[in-house]
Amino acid sequence: MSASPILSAFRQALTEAWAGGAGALMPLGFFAGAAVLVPLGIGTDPTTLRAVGPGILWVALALASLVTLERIFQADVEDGALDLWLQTGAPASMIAAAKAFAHWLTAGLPLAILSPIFALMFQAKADTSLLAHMGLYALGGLAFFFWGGVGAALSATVRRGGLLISLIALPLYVPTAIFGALAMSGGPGSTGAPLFLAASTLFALAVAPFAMGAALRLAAD
Amino acid sequence: MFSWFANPHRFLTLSSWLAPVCYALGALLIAWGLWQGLWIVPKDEYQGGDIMRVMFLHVPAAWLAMASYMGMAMMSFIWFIWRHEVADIAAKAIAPLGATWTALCLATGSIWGKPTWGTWWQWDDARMMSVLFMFFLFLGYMALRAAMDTRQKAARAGAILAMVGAINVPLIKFSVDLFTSLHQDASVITVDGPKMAAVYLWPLLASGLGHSLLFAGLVMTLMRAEIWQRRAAQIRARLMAGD
Amino acid sequence: MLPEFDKNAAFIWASYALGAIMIGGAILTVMMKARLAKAELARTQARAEEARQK
Repeated sequence: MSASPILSAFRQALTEAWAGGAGALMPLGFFAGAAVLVPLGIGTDPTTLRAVGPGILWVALALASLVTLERIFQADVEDGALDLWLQTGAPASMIAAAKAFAHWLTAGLPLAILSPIFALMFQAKADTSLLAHMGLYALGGLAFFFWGGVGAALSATVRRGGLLISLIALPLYVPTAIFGALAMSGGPGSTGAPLFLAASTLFALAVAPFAMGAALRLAAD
Repeated sequence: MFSWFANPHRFLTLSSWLAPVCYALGALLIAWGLWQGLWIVPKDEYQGGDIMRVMFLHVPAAWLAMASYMGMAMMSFIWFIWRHEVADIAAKAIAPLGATWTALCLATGSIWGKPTWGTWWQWDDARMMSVLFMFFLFLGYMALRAAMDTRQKAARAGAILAMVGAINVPLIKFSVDLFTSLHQDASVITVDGPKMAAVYLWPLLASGLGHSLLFAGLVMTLMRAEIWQRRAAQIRARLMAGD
Repeated sequence: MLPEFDKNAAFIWASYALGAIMIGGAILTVMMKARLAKAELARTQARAEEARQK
């Protein structure tokens, strides 16, 4: 009984992401745009590009998550779907987590999977480390979507909440961005960083749903 | 204990004399700290000469940046659990003032950094980065509250965000420390030095306490203003209903 | 008498001037807000009193 609203929220988020033309392709376009514009902006020197590539992709991933998240809870508040889910007595935190997870699946995970292509465009060496980086982008993206989801849930009743979400999410994105970029730097500290990244993502998974749930109950009032 | 303070009327009575006391004591302590810091204490050649005198403004600001955020988060927590109206009023009042002192900490740190490090902004300095993110947390809190259409919603959303921010502060701090410890430039002069001479300690403590008292006084005055505003709004609502 | 500082005097004065402006600004804003709120409350209370006597 209490599982069904969570499932329906998850399914609805999936269809929502694919429907309406842009959907899941929008963050991908955003990601590709950043990857293509950066070499035009900072020059085409291969060593420079190789050095900044992973960092640029982290920034693009963070920004792409913000682009997706702007409306994920707003539509549910407006069309009353949120009220229906909450009336069934399902925990708001699980509904919120299901939605954030669905959006990570449709917008975050594809970016991570395509990351080797963009890494190659940034002159990265084609070896197995690109596959490991894929995992790191996926993991870090999960944290981005959950913390960004907190911003989205808090500003669900605010029209044009995009700027607000960015402002709220920015400080929360810091640990993930630092650990993620550090893990790929290859320098000192890069061996422990993947563990820290995993730990901070787990922390996001543990804490963010409750904050999102509280924010959604507020939005439904 | 919280409930005793939770009564707005009791708060108004208390703050009517406590706020002026805070202002007076704070002004005295800041004045003494300034006089000692700018005129009396000798300059420290190890710390780059006279520039260390900025410490008597910068360190209190840094202390208040941390303390005010923690205070705001605690007030948010109290409001969230017990729904004491005064706690929310306190959290709302702390935000703009905390942001002011945080910005002051960043600005004076930057001015101090220029002659010491040769740069206005040092990405390698963990403290600068942490305080910058603290500043963003304040800005986000204020923007969120301002965007909500009712007072109740602003209080709830603000409390959730302040608590989420507060539990993230240690993680942000840890990640920034890790980031900067790997980028540390050996030529950087550590601003704290190996140990602080006792001549600087007392003026510094006086300045820190003085700024804290001034801050507390300002928070109370701002809270009084908010309570009066809410009362006026209540009376207006009753008048409208009566018509 | 102003104290004399070494070559970094400009930086020191700049920080303290900035501190004075920011803290002074905060104090002024807060005081003005409190005064306005108090006046507004008094006006509203007077209006309520008037309404009750009618």
